[in-house]
Amino acid sequence: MSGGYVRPHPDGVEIRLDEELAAFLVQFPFGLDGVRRGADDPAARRLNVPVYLDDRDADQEWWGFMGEELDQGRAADRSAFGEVMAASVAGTVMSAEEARAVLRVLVESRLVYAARLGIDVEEDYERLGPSDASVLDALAELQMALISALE
Amino acid sequence: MATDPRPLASTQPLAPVIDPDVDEGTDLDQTWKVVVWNDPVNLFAYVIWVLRTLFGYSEDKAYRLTHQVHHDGRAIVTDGPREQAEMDCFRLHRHGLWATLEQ
Repeated sequence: MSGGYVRPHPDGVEIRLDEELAAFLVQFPFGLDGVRRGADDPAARRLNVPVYLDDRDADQEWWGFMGEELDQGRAADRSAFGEVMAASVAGTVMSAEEARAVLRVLVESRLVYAARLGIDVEEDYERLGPSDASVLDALAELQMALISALE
Repeated sequence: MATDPRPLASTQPLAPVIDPDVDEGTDLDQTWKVVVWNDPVNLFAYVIWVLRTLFGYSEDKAYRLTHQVHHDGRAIVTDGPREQAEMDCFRLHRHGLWATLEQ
């Protein structure tokens, strides 16, 4: 992985990132905190997609029961992500659960970033500028490294 | 926590309780399918990892389901009683996958 390494460790997953990459990554949870359920925002719509497609009442009931827990879980993931990124320049070992939290934040970040770029189908990637494409690629590269380390 | 003020034991015979809102033989008996939909952002390898991690599927089964999602646009990844299906759906959403429920 460019800009550092992620590898399996007896206690979980070891991560070390160079300063530039860590500084780049640590900004993403702040953007995610601004995604509010029900907001007129493509990112909010992507993170809170309907569960019951043909039953609005059942869907509202599901979100009523599960939405808050989902929000709390995502917030906890972002907190773990921030701590890991802060320690990653010196090098740190994450527990497997922390590594999964970091992975979920990377996924969430890619979903939000792509939603705001209007990526609805795979062909939409072809019109991306190099800067946006490199952001999505960098997040994906770390995501893949974490998956490999967790397997 | 129970809020019914009646004592647990009563000397009076209990009349049968009829709840007009209970529609017997509906959700409790039925199987709900959990569907994962294709999206252009989530990585193929990540979807495989999620299905293996959440449901304990073999790599082969997780790969086949992910391939079906990618190719057909959707795949039924698990099923069960409504409560279980709703929780599975929650776990998939927690991992950023778009999952829906259907009968």
